[in-house]
Amino acid sequence: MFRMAKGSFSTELVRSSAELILLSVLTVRPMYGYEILVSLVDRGDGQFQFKQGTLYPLLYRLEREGWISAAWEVPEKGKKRKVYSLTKDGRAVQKARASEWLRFTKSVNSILNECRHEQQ
Amino acid sequence: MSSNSILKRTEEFFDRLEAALGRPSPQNRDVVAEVRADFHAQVDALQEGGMAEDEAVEQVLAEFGEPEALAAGMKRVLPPLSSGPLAVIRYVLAGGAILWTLALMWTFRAWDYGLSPGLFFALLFHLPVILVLWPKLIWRKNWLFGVVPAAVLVGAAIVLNVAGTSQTSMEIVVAEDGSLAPSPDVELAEVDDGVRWQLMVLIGALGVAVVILFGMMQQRRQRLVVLVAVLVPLLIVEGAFQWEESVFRAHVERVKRLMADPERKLPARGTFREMGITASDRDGGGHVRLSEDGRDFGMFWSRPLSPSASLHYSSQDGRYSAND
Repeated sequence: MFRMAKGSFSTELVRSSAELILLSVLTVRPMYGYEILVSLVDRGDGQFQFKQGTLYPLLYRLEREGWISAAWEVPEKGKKRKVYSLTKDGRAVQKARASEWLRFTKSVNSILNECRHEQQ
Repeated sequence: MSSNSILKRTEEFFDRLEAALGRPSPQNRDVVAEVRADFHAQVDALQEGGMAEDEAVEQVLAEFGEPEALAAGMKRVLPPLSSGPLAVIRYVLAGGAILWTLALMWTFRAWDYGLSPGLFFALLFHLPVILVLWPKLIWRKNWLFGVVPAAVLVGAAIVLNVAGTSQTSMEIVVAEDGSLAPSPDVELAEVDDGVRWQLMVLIGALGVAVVILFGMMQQRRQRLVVLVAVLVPLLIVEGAFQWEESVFRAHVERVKRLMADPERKLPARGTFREMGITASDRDGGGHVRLSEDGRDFGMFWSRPLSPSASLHYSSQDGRYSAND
């Protein structure tokens, strides 16, 4: 499951955003499994980390949806790796979901701020 | 820990993962190869950070968790029976089902004049089977891929096809009465009430199955492609027979005009060419027969698109019909 740093987000919150998070990471560049895990830790300020048991099913599900595609690549240095990249559909979904997420968080923030002001 | 011991621990993990994924297949081998590549990349990264190899392997093994749990999570989203020889078998079976369905659609359409319930029934009946057979189309883990549902589905398909074939034989006997006049059509409304209800239930169930299967398709693009792949043959078959029927109607209109012409004396019976409808008998199989008083006529045309079926027209009731 999801491993979280102490005091960070709930499992449900991370799970609901897992697809968006993975799609967003892959907008940067195509990555292989371990690279994605490292990227999530780095870019998420270490607030959450995926375990392999979560990452692979999620990657396969996104591939099934046609949002990412996988291909084996042999780097100049090192062993061959299965690299995932966003498809055109995936890019569109990421854009739509990111926009939805920003609207959602903006709305939640607005409610939280309003309530806090009224309490004071 | 010795390097042999590390190797043994690592191989044990991948052996268990491979076993937990199930039957060896290119798809499962690919999954194991991917996990193996990531495993080693992670170990290498830890070693580059200064960790000893045995510690690094231990840490990565701990992070990967139990291979059985890892495999269980993957199996929930991996398409079943969709790689290697099994995929080829599924493509072949789906292709065969498609050809069989097209043949049935063509035949059933030829047996009817105008929109044919048989055409839609042939499509509706076989579509769920084709959708399930085609690899990587419907591959959410679902009950359809259990042994029992699959056996029931295939069994039902065979039984209904056999039943349909025997029904066809009966209709051929009816059609072989030798008359040029239209033979009575077997309409759904004329079918025995019990059978009609069974058919209605079956059609309803098939319709629901198709809707569910469309919902189970993974990609919106796949839904669109399937929809187009269903509609295009449907329109081609329907369009071809509609065109053929329009030609027949034109022939009928020509006979009507000839009969209305007092200058023309038509023979009591004859081919289209003999009646002056067409310039030659190239399209063959077309006959006209006048009634004894010469006021009415019947027409028979062996369908060019399906010579085993024929079109009929009777001026007595102005009715067009088709027979097999």
